[in-house]
Amino acid sequence: MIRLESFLIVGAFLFSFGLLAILTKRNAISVLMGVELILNAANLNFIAFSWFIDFEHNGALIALFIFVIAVSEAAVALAIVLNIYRNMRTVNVDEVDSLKK
Amino acid sequence: MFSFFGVAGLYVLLSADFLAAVQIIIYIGGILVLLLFGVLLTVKISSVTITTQTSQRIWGTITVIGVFVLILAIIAKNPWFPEIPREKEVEMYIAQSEQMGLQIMSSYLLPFEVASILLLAALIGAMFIIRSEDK
Repeated sequence: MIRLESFLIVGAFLFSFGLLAILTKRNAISVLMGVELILNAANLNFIAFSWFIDFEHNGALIALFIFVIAVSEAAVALAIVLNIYRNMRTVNVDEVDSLKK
Repeated sequence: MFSFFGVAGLYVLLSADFLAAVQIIIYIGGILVLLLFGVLLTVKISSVTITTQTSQRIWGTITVIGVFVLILAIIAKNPWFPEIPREKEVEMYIAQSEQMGLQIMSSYLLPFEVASILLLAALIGAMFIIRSEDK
């Protein structure tokens, strides 16, 4: 019998790996990959709760809308990163600091 | 990519088969391909390996391990609700896409419309951002 906590632990695992990617990667596209991992972990949590606790499919529907939000956010973020590359010729997040004095 | 496949497998285990297919199509076929295009367009031929400094990586790993332990503590200490017995629902299998379609069109209609507007705005915004200036 698979319990609810095992799905939550897998979600926490994915969340921590995504957080590691956001905190330590220098390439901006790797940071975007970490954001997608975190959204995936939240999705897994929602669907796990909707299966174990809910009679209807509320969590699964919320997960569907999270898909939509994640896709649109990835598209716009990639457009921004490509623009940064076009202007500054680098995607290193440490070198894009022209706002810093 | 394999982690996305694995998560799609977990969705099937949670009787969310429609969302598993959506996950494979959108995440692997959409977002990963998009990020691959991004990596293709932004690679520098003469660049040194983009790795982080060791001090940043150590502090990042410590923070992430702390967050993971915190989440595990919350999961372990929390008295979750008693689970619904699901044995008698296995005989009548209704596809999840049909169930979700019924609910999208009845009680989740407003988020559905807002999501379509959000997709339209993201599409137009991304195309506007990436437009070249020599016109």
